[in-house]
Amino acid sequence: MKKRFWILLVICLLITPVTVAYANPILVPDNDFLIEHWDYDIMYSGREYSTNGASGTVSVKKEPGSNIWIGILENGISMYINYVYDYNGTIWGLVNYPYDNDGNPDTPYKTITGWVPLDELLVIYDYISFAEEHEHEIYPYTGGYELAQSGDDTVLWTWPNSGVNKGTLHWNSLEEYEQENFRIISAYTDEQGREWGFCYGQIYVDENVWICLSDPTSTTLSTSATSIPASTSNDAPTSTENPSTGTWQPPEPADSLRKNGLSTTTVSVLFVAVLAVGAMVLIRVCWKPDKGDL
Amino acid sequence: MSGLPVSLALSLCLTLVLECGFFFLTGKRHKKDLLLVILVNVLTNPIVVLSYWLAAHYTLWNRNLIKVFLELFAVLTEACYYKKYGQEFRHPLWFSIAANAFSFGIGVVVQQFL
Repeated sequence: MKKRFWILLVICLLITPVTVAYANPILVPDNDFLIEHWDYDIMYSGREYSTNGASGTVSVKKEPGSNIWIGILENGISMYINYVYDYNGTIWGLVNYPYDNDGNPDTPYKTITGWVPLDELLVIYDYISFAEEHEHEIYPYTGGYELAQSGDDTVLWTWPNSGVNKGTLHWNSLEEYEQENFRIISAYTDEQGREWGFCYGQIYVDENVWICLSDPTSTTLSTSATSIPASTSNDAPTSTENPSTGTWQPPEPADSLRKNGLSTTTVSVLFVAVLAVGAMVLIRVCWKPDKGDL
Repeated sequence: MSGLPVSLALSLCLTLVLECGFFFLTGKRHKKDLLLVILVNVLTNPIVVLSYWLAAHYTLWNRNLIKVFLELFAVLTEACYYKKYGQEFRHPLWFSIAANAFSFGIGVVVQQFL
């Protein structure tokens, strides 16, 4: 009876790792390379990119530097890339692109997860692009926050004169910690002489937003034509395709899993199970219990 | 070569060297007991390393608690095997606790240099 208990316990312990791996929420994309390098050299990007391969498509690879592709994306598809990795001086980004069987991203039930070099992508213009473009015109902000704290709805903008607002900030609606964290760390004066402030701190709408200090409540600030590039080059040719027309080409019939074999994690689990069972059998065969059951 | 298989292989090799070393340090010389120590560690160490790796990467559980639980599993399993099959293990549980503490401690020190 006790022997059966121990056998059952060992089997449970062998199964437990697999259960743990799949029964709990996975907080990051399920990619072996990402997980294996998570603690060491994965960097956060958090920017939106558009595919822009020289041949009209971008091959998604199993891992940085690999020749094994797991899918092909046509140029013009936009997506967020949160994690990047420096592979021998070339930065690769982790693509986590949802799609359905027809390659339609609107009703996804599968996800293609792999790596592409950032050279084959264009970064979509964002607040970082703006800061890079106006590096010498942005200065530290030394004023107060009276405008933001006035009680009026302060309009939040993606960047000065972008024409795209990200909602409004109502000071009294902020949580106490949001008020405490709120900072305007730098400022910029546009061609019309309006001063803008870059906000730091996770406020309820978004972080990394600008407010127009000269006219904080206006939602109709004019857009400067020179400050809204469609995208910024990563030393790659400029795409002329409309991002919304991009379509995804599913991998060849041989599914990516079959093509690449089992994942490292699965192989490791199987290997450990075989090793443990092998050791148990060997002990059982080589030793006859000298003492009674435990 | 990816991280997990390397971790598994390194941990197992290091554990075998250290636990066999500890076996000799305690004055034991019985060959069959030595083989038992090796097989028991082949049984427990990869399970412990793999379980820790999976738990650390896929869950938000406290890592120290995971270590304690897994080390406890290793100690108890090994003690049971030593008690059941060993020839010269007069205090199997204490031997198991001491051997695991020895290899865990040295492992922590070695990890600083890797």
